Amino acid sequence: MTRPYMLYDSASPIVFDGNVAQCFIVILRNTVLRSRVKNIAPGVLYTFVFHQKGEYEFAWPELCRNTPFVSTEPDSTTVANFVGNTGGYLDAHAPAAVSEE
Amino acid sequence: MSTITGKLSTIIGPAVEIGSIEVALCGYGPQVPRGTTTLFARITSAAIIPTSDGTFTFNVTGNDQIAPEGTYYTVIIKNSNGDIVQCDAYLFLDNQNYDLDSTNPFDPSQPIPPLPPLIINQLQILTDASSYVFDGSTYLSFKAVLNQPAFIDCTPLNEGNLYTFIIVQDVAGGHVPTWSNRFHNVSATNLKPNGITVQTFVCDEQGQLYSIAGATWWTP
Repeated sequence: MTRPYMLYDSASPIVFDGNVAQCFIVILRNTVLRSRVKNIAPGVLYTFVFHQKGEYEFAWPELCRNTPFVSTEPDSTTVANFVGNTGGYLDAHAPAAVSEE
Repeated sequence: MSTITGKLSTIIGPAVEIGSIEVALCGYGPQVPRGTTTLFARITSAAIIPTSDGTFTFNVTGNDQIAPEGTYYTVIIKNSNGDIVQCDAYLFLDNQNYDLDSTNPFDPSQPIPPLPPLIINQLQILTDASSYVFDGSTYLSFKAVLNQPAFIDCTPLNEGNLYTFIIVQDVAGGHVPTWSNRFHNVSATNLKPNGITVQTFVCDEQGQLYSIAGATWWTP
């Protein structure tokens, strides 16, 4: 059983596509001022994992609501879980978890 | 394996039609279709002949056990004259039984939805051990019933999956688990007698498990 995931490098434009994956893993090598999300299925859980490689900031897509702060602590990992809602929205259903290595 | 059954009959005259069924694997593209340990050199069946009452049974490897993803089976129904009545496509999942009399065909022209509509047991339960190594390639949820301090690990894993752990204390309680170093941000365990701790982790591309939120506790 696999849950499709997608690996992103923050140097490239980030578009989280719900048709491609349910788990999005971002390697943060720079500050991300803009990102997008599309094709969100209502009722589906989507997980975002951010591996912080510096002290970079991440701007959530507008369709993500109640978004947590992505830790800027170097070498930390932030995990945020959302549930898909109607209208293409993603609603956070738990506080983020931050792991500092 | 998947077990497929059915019964051929006729709308005219006698109720039984001794036709035949032919099965073929499709949708594997330019790759050789393969299972977990084999390459499939034969992906079509010889004619499957029903019994005298028109019933037939055959077994196939489930499409969820075949690589590349996206395969399906075609089932050709022929009458006793050898003429094709219809060719339908089906998705057969491993360890499931299908009665073609009541199974809807699959439309391969439609994209496969991101979530398969599976209702299968995904919980692995282990009890009364000092070491638990759960199988993340087969299950998504795990239950450890502790009667002593125990080591907990989970391998192999699939990147991107969510894995939920249910830790249950026995009637004595007080048993502290030790988690392998692939787990990160593990919450404290409920140590009360019969106490239950539930926590979910996501597996990243390095096979590391990160909690998605703090654990929940409940004591009956």
